[in-house]
Amino acid sequence: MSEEKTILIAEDDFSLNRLISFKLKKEGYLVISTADGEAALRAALNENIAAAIIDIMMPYLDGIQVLKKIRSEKPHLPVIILSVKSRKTDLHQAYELGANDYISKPFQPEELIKRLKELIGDN
Amino acid sequence: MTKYDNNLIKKLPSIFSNFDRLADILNQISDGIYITDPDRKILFWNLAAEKITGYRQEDVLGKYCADNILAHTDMAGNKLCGEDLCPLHKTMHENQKPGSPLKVKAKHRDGGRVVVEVSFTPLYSPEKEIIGGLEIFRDVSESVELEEQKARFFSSLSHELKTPLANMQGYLELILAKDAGPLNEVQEEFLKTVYEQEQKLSAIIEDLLDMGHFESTDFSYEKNLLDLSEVLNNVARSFYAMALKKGLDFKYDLAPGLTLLGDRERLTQAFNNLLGNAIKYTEKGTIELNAGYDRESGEIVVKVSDSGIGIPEDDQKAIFEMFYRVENPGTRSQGGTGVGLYVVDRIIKRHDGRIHLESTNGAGSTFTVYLPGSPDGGKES
Repeated sequence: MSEEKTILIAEDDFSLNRLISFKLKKEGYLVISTADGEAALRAALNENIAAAIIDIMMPYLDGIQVLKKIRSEKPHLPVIILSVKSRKTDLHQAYELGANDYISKPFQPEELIKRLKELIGDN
Repeated sequence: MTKYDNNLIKKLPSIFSNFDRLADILNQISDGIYITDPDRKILFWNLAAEKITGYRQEDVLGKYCADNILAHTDMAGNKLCGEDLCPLHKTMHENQKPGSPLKVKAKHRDGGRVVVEVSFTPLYSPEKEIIGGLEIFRDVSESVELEEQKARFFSSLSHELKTPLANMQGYLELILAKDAGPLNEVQEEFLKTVYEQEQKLSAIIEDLLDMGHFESTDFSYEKNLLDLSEVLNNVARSFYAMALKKGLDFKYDLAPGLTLLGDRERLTQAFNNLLGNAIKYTEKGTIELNAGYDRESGEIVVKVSDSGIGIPEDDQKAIFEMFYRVENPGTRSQGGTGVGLYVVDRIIKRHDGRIHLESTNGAGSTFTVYLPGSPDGGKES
């Protein structure tokens, strides 16, 4: 990678958050890790990030709200939404609001990294 | 055709010539029963119907059932009342054969809804003229609610169990890939064991969740035109290495282009379970997977055979039941939940297929799956 890209993670499950962060750092990315919707939104709007990985169920502001607000300011920021498989309505809502990709939990971290790289052209 | 003993009926003329006696009997029955004339005017309403719907006889007798009394809807809330929709009307006047009981929602007098299972049948005069209709309904609200609760429970359980396991697996993989620093040989060996056990636990939980999933009422199947040969090819490839690792021969012969209407994910799961079992219960010999088309019966035929421990005759009937496990005193326990074949059976049946088992204790098993389909990509009708 010519320059280090920054990826935002918004996930309130601490162990999953840390796992994804670890993997991303190993791939050479810089990581901003947040565990609630408000912190995620602040980072998404104020930091120079290459992509955001956002969980739907989070305290203060859920991932759908975060995505909605991101889209009004940064319409082209690549966003991957994470959610529980059984909640099909989440998926529709996420795509309608302009999520670029969607991964249902639980997932293999490799799968997330692969899709992220495809999305930001790091293959 | 209803069968009855004519001699017996002859002895009971008083019941059938005297409606009071018949009404007494119908009032003893715990299913709701009502009788209408051909225009669906309610002529009789039994006590169980009162109890289930809250409407008393004096509330409904002489009224038309279309007068918004039960106002049947299907489970999704679509109207089933009115001439063009009423199932009772259809059985009386449109020659629609009374089918299996229908699950519908009916209005309760208090404004709520009860879920009932209903069947309809026309009543004929001796001259074969339609003189009315009969509806029988049973209150199933409680069991429907239980099913819904169960589905919700499994859905949340699924998340609660899978999330920590997925995290554990992720961290274990990191450690085993030495991403968190070097490991000595003993540490590596022990962690591999932890990893294997975690995988087993995950598999068991998947099984249990599948079962809950299949039991839940809102479970739906996709129905897409799909290439079963390709599905089977993928399944075969994913098990090939596992069979070789165990020292087994794995032969497969799949006719190309076998096509059916079905759910790719579910069918993959069914054949995964069958092949997984074949390998699990076979210590030496051969695993075979064959698929072809039987032109005579118009069915796709898939065979999964192994040379494994086999299934004792006594167990063969029950093997597709939930939680059933063959206890084999002579062999090492393989672990498992007894859900795998139950799931296979459910999936195949939902595709209007059937499954047949042939096995000799100690000398292998062959599972044959028959599925309606076509041999050439659906081009031949």
